[in-house]
Amino acid sequence: MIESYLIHLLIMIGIYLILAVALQLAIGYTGLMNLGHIAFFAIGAYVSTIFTLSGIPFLLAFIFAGIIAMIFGYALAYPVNRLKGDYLALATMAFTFVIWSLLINLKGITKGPLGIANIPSPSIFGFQLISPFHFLILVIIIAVLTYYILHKIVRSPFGKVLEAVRDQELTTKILGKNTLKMKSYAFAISAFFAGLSGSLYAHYITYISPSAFTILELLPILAIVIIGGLGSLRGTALATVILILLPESLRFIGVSASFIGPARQFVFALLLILILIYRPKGLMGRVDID
Amino acid sequence: MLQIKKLTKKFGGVKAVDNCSTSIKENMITAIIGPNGSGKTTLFNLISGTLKENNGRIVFNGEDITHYSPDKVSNAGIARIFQQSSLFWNLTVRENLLIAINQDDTKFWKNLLGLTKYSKDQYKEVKSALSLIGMFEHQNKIVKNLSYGQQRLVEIARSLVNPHKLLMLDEPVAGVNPLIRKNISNLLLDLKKKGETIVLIEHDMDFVLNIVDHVIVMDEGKIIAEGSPNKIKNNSKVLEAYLGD
Ligand SMILES: Nc1ncnc2c1ncn2[C@@H]1O[C@H](COP(=O)(O)OP(=O)(O)OP(=O)(O)O)[C@@H](O)[C@H]1O
Ligand SMILES: [Mg+2]
Repeated sequence: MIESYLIHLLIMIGIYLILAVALQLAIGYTGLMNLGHIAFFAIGAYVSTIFTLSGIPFLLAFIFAGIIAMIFGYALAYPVNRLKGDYLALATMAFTFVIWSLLINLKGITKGPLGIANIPSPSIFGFQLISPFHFLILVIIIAVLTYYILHKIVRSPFGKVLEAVRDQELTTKILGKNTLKMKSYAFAISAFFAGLSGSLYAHYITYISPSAFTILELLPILAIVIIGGLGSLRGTALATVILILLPESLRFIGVSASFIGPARQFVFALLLILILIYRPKGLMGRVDID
Repeated sequence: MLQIKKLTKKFGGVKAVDNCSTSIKENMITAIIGPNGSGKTTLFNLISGTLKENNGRIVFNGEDITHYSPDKVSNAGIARIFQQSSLFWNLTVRENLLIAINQDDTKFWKNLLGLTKYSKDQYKEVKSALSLIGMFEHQNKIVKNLSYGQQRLVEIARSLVNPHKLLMLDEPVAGVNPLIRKNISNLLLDLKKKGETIVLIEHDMDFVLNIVDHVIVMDEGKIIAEGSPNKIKNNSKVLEAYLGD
């Protein structure tokens, strides 16, 4: 019992870690206030679900979940290229609404508000990952790979140009860099990993519906990115663990199960406000963004 | 090296640059001077592609760069610094220069596979540029923690290592203390000896008249005089633009 509860928490930490480090790349490293992240997560979840239900092997569906989310991310960079700060945030938030309403309305593909149930557990090279423990191993592998690749990217000269775009976009152009290209890569990479995470989520929960992908679901991820600190992958990882585990403690102090959901949102919002007041750079943040 | 032909830029009713034609010659230091709001920075912005002209052409080494985007202008061989500080605040001095020097760093796949490291030569060039401005020992400092004068020096060094044939400096010594000012003027003279072509905008007449070969004077968007520093010093139109009203 306690073991399966722990496994569940670890799986959620893994899924959120992938989402959060991916969002950190866009917000903390590239300065793109992207509130469309949950839409990429949704795209990954639906693509993977629909593909596997139509008989495509999980591994392929999983990779397509990333690639199709990535294509959306890449494309989104173009219309929003000239927008900055609040305007970019609004436009990307609108993107979340667009995807969400497509999920509701394209009933032929998505089954609309009812959602899709009985999503098969992943099968890799004929090996069925039925037990949560096996699923946990898959999540750990993907999370570690994601972290490693993003770490590589932000440390490379390419990552430094992303930071240059964040600090001074015009100067980055003046030095001869195509900043639109850089931003579309940042969106694409970030969306790719969000899509992978969405696939893992769908096959773990085995049921998805549009209500799991509203803008409200962005709150915990955004909170992790800001509390972890802008421009720090390590901070993001630390904040993921804290923010997934902290609301769980509510269970042990006797908060009723039906109240846990709203209480979680409350804890995230409260933590976010406290951090913004007392430690604006988050736990391990390095950068000031104006 | 650079020809400007009948260039015009309007902001609403204001002609910030008004039918300007001139050229910049190789291996010289050229200054653009003029009162506040006379259109100097706007002229730089038109050349580097950060503003679109209403009329006119810009030709650089025979290449028509009039409609180029800023990154294409840069890759054609024009480096510049802005009037306002515009470093990458959260990065170190050295990182600021490495970004300017590297031309492969926007290639995603090469980077993901770890194939674009900064080369030994690039590190060496950054080191010598920083030594030139006396900032080598500060190379690992985050630039937002430097003094204003030091930041200006880093910006100049950054434009120097950015591959270029023409260097455009918008008020490199404004607000900088006399010591650093002296260093910068020596640096510019050294660069000229090494064959650099430099255009700079400057208000400080002493600074300008001591180091430049050619002066272009602007007033209300127009080029009102052009010539050697000595000729300009005694030009009546220039004196009027500066002393009038
Ligand atoms: N982006 C802009 N939008 C509207 N008007 C502008 C813009 N940029 C410049 N101007 C106007 O164009 C004119 C020329 O400005 P510019 O900045 O080129 O002058 P300058 O010679 O560089 O002055 P300074 O010595 O103060 O730097 C001014 O009247 C200015 O107000
Ligand atoms: Mg100016």
